Amino acid sequence: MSKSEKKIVLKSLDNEAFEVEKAVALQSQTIWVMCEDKCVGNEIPLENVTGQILAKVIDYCKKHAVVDGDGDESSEELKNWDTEFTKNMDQSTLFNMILAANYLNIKSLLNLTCQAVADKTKTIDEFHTFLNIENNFTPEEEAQICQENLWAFDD
Amino acid sequence: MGEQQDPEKKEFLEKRSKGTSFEPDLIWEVLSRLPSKSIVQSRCVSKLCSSITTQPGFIRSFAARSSESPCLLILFKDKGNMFVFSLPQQQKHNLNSNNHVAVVDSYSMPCPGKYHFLSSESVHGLICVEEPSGNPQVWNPTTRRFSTLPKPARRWGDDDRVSFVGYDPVDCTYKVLSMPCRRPRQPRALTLGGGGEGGARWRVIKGLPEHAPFRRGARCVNGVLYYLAAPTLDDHRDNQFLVSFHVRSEKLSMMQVPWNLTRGLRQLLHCEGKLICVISNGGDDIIMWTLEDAEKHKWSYKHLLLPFSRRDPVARTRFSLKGVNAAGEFIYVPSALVNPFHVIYFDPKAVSFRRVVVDGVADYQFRRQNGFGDYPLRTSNAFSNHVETLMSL
Repeated sequence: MSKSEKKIVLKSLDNEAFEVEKAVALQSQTIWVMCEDKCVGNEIPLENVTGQILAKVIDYCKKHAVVDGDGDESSEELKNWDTEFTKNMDQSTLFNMILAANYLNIKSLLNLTCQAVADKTKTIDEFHTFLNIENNFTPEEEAQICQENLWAFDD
Repeated sequence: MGEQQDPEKKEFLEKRSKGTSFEPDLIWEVLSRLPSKSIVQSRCVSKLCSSITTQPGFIRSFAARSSESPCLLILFKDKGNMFVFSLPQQQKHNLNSNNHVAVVDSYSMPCPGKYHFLSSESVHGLICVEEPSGNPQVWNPTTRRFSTLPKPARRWGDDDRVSFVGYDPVDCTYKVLSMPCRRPRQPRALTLGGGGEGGARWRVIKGLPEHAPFRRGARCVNGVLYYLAAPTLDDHRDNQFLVSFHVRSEKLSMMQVPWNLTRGLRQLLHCEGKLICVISNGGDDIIMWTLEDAEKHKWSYKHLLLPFSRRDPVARTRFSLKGVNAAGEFIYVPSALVNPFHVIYFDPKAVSFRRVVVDGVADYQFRRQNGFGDYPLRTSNAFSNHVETLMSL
């Protein structure tokens, strides 16, 4: 296999191209299926992911491609790296990372980013804003359902 | 109003492309990682969240996540109230692990009547409670609800009943097995949460002669509920046997046991894949009967001297066995709650133990708020391997 076949080019929604090792990119089930189908050349267009987000996804995949399968110490290190990775992400980046992880079908990244949102959620209103969920109960319905679950609102 | 002007939020809403929102399956993913309290709050605010979080699949995945880090639940009752403390349960003996833990959650709620918590086990998040009349109730400590079970169509004519909860991990269903403890009768089973056709009524479980169960020490392991029994209550001395109830198939079977004891507390435990009966007379030694081969009814015997004293006269406390963690360590919980107190993890293989210091239970603020003096508060019960479940009954 020549060196170029080991590499793959991922092209973002805003036409940014990233050349990465195949082993790195194949952590995405979506890319894996695209490569299997051989319906694409060496360049894979990703229509749902911006360059800014794709760069972060690639960082994640690079880190996990290198360390996966090693002993306990590296899994601990990987965990710390994951924590650092999401620690300073703002809400909109996290939101888009979840969408990207879902679209690219990278289970571990989806787990990580969903957990990060859950951990950063301080109030349920914040959570609903994040997910863009409407409060669609009538005031009467809301009063009744809250009354049944009063304990969840104490503190 | 202040919240609407939050710059980060505003920026987020602007940056998010117009109309983008998560599909329900992604909302599911995020919701299932929130704490139980937030999930219940979300149910009150949106129909979508409510419909997602009440689906059986969601409830299963939430409990599965919670079972990765089970907790030790400590219960303290005072007058009409009960106080519930949830502590992280240490799952493995790690020299580097911290020997300090702090309470992760605590709350109080009214505890009507004189409920007994004798069955002493949290079965996949649910605990069976007995009313003084013997009628079973099921308590879900996560949703803080007691649920009264329907009464059997025909009365047993004996109100002193014993009830156990069983959980079948294949179908993810809970069942309650109930029977009178004084007059031997056939047990009856009820599927919790409906359970489809015929599930919501008591069914007579046949297959074994009528027997009288021991109230304490039952254990549900991998879809099988074990309890000790005798043909009648007066036969406890010579004729004990082990009953197993296969929760899914509702098949009952029995096995002779090698011990003959009138005194002592017998507790069934599940330790590293084997069923163990631990017999204790309250002193600092225990007898362990391990079921080595269930087919051949082969048991092994071990008499162990505990390397710690179960009684601590200075702290006016006494340690009781409450379960086993994933590493096979026996968990001993003190009868007196002070701040801080110790939980003892005893390794029966190495005959060694370690103490884990628990901070934050019955501290000054708690005592002051609830009008307790500085005397030790008495543990009413403790439940090991408790997982959170959103199961509603």
